[in-house]
Amino acid sequence: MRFALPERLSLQKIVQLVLGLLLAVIVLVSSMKTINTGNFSGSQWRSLVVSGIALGSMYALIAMGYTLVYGILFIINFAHGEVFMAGGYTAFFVARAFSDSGFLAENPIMSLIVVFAVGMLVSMLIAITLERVAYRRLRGAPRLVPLITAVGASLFLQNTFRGLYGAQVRAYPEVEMLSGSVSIFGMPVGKLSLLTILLAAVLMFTLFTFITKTKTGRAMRAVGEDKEIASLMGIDVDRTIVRTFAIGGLLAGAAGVLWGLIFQVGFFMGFFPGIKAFTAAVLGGIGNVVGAGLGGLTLGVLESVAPNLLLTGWDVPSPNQLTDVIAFTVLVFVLIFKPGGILGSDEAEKV
Amino acid sequence: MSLLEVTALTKRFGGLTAVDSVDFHVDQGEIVGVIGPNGAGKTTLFNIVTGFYDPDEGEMRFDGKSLIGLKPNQVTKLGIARTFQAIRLFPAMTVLENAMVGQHCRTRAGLLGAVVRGPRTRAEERQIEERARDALGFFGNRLISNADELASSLSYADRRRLEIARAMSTGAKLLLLDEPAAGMNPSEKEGLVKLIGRLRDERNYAVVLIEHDMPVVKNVSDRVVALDYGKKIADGTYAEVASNERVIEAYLGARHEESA
Amino acid sequence: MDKKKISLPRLALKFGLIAGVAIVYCAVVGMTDRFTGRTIVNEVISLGDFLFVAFALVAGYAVAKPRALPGDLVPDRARPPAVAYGALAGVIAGLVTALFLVIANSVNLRLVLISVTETLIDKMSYGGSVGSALVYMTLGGALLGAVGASLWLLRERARNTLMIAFVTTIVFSLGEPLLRPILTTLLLKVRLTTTWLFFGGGLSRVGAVVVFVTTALIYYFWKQRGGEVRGRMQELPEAQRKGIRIAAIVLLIAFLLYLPNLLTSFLAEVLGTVGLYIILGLGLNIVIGYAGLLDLGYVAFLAVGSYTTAILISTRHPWGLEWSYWMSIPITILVAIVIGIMIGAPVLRLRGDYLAIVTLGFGEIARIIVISDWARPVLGGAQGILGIRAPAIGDLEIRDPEKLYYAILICVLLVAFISIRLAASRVGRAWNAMREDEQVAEAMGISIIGYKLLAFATGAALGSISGIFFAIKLGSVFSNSFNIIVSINVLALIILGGMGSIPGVIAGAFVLVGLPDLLREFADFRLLIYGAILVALMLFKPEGLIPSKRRKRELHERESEEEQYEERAGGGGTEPVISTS
Repeated sequence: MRFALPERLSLQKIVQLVLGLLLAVIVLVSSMKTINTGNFSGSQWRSLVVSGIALGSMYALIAMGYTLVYGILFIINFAHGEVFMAGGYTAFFVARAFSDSGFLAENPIMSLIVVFAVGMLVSMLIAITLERVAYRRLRGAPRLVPLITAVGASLFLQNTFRGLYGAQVRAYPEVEMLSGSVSIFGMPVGKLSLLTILLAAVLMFTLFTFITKTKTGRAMRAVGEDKEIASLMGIDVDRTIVRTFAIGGLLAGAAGVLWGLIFQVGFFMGFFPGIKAFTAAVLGGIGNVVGAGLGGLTLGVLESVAPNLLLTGWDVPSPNQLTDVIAFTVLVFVLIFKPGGILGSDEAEKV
Repeated sequence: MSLLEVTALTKRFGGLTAVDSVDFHVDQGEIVGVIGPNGAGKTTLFNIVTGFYDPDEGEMRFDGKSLIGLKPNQVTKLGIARTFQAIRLFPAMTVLENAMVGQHCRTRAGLLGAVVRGPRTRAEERQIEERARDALGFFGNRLISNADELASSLSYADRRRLEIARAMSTGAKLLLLDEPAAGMNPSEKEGLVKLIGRLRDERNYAVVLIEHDMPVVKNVSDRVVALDYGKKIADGTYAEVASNERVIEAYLGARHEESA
Repeated sequence: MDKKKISLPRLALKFGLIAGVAIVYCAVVGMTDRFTGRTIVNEVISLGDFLFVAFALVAGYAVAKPRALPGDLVPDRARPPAVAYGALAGVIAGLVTALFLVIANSVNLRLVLISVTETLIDKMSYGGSVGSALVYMTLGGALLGAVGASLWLLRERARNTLMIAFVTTIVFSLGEPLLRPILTTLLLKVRLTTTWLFFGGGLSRVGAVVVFVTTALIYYFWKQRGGEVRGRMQELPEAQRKGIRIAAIVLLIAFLLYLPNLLTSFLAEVLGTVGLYIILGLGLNIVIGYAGLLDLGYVAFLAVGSYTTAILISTRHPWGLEWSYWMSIPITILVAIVIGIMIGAPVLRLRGDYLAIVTLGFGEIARIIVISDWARPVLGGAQGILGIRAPAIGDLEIRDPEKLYYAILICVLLVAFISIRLAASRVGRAWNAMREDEQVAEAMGISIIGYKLLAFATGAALGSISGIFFAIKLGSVFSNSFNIIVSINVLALIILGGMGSIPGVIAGAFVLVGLPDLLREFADFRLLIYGAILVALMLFKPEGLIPSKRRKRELHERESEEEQYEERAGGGGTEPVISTS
């Protein structure tokens, strides 16, 4: 088979340009059509945006785990979605116990703190075990091997929890303190959404400070640059890697509890958020912590707003079924055209 | 007319000019050695000629045809083949298969041929195997006797030989060898010198080799070209180049004639 | 000798704990409970009990395994003290299990862990009190650990004999659903029955002993002969060897053709499914194994094949095309090839793991669209498309499992043939080269774009063929069938069998697709076991069960000394061509 392309580079660039323009046109036209139908009021759009930010905050927390691990080991921890699930699902039982015993009603703040703590700790444990059992031995292996291991670990964890806790979906008990909404700048914002956004922001900020200002954070960055040199500088590479996984686990666990409070929990709850969080990490530039945050928020808002914005105008029935298609399409497009993401370099392109 | 003619070739990477207005030629049946300190632009030059990079300025012609804008496989098809600084064989393919792949650009069988294996495909496969064995055979018994072994199981020196055999089997007229003597002991280096000579004498190849080992360069080259910071600083016989002041300076003043 | 003594207790502790945790894990996850329903040896041991037995034995075995002392060679037998430590490991495992039972008995774990029911605790305590369970576990563990360890007191041949006989017996028992019908039919011809062999869903006591002893004898005396035969085979001239190989294959095919006569309808159907997955596996094998493109969304091509067939043929589709099979099959394959190229084109430049995720994304996009309301007018939405009539050759309708089996078998042979031919051709070499070093392959004249697209197209075509059969088999197309689990299934069976190796794919399909259908008890835990197998494989044997020779070297020899030298000297094969000179 012969494909003699005259000048490699320019053909690619032309295709990229054309597709980019096409995309922009489609988005514009679709949005106009939808707005013209007048189906959605301004306040509806606003509330969609807010819930998008809340959703995005959770994606961002999970995405941090992906990006941290990738930055240090250059593997995609496919099982990170299950780390997220483990914490959220296990903490459910604590929450339920508190609710049943009345503790939740009496000391909501204390209860929540404990619930979050449990969720974060469980996720952290799972993450650390994952590293120790599945990934540690495979540090030098060709890329395919850790990826398949991750897929296997993901399946294993999912079904372990299915066997442990059962296959049905569970709802967190109602927390009085968190129901209803507050008014911010005249706009009603759900208290739960507010908690999500604030908590995520605090955690992300803490993480960012940790990475840039502390010794361990520096060690993590050093190991990511060059494992051998880092160890020559006296950095305990193994311990640093464990810490990376641990931190990712903590964040994911928090996200898991939040997810449970807002939606529900079940053994399968980690799969899609996991992939979307990965999308977010790539969108923001894999390996870049700030990027993961930005990517998460962007994806969350996109997911919340886009189906209605783009599809209603065309009279697409049940546009929300296709929400995930949007996330996956974003993933595909970003990986194909700008693997470095918004904030990253394009070195991820070709080896 | 020269076989390979490079004029005012320039390549920049951001702020760094890796190859700076280099004029360079190789004639039929010539062995040219390319020397220069690390970072001088030697391998980059190879990469540009073989189509891995596009030059920013300058011209390159092989056998009269321009090489500008050609992709690596098109360059190979024209008749230039190369080896790499770090041996890049196909490790999980056998020795024979490595040599057979070299002929890909000269053969045609596609999907249908592979499945149906009609007379034309079978004839082509036979021819591919013959030519591959022929290239392997150039190195005596060493490679042929291991024809069905995995390439990764060969000794270091044999792997270097296999890489050259693979380059030969592409049906090239010009061979670019990137540090072929790296990692060899003195007797292996002697063997290499003889080998390259035989390439020219028996098979009529033109050869360009990048080398750091001066005795090897001295014993094998008809002509030597020296690069430094991307510029060509000398071009002539070994004696001329070795005594050239700029060359000596480029190597930090040390005299290299007796270095091993 | 000293060093060994010091580490043995630690090993005993380590393996004992691991075994204990494993046993408890099986219990809390629900496996033990399900498995106690399955007999291995009638009234002696169930599959659930076997979990405890197996882990304790393995723990003892692992402890006693002779390890190299510094400066020495590895001894091939262990000394008696090792048995004691094996027993210790077993004891620890037993204690951990007993501890779990104590906790389970006093705390109502069932609130959280749904599998820890009264029944389970009862079964695990063998109907006695928890205190007696403690005694059982400890003593039983000790005994089993000792037995496992004492295997190392024997010479290699004896040891292997016992292990193989043991495993064969277990496998034989688990394979009862398949073996019983076959053996019954066969033995009936010589006026024998199998009632003495099988009983209660597993082996009878007599049967177990017979199988064990027979296997042991066969193995012990034939192992030597086997070596001799192989040696003599090597000495034969190439032509004769080829002749023998061909004869073997012909015999195998003849057996396969005769097989439905020995099986029930149900089993024929299972084999049909296995065949479908073999075709899928061979297709994905070309994409991943030959060309090195990690495609995690392969289910998309299965969907294309099924849906296109459905649209073209169904009697209940709004478009009402109702073509014949002769027309629709080529069109289906063509559509799949086009879609394969469309999917392949944008991802050409992507590196390994990114390619995987993108293809995963594509697979999921396909799934969502297929279920969506938006595409319902054409694709049937959540209900799918019904009314796919069976293909017919003249008067012969291909609808029941036996006839389908033949059709699928023929297809499998065809696809296997194509795969073999491709592997040893110029195209196959090009794919291999591209997989191993893309840049150098390009320099050799291999058009990377062309060959990647060719791989995708071929994979798509084969996947769609499987899809066609899938639609025929079910008579309809259900949107829920096309999820990522299918893609992972196919991937898993290729990896288990050995990537790039055709016998490997076939073996993988039988193990991962055939077995779960036969072993109902495993059905609930199928994905769990898949996951564990994948991880275990990657950790210990990434080249799979029946690897192609190359793959083994590729995966195990990466860190040989010389390669490390080269890596330092000037960059390995995966770096770009930029260097420092």
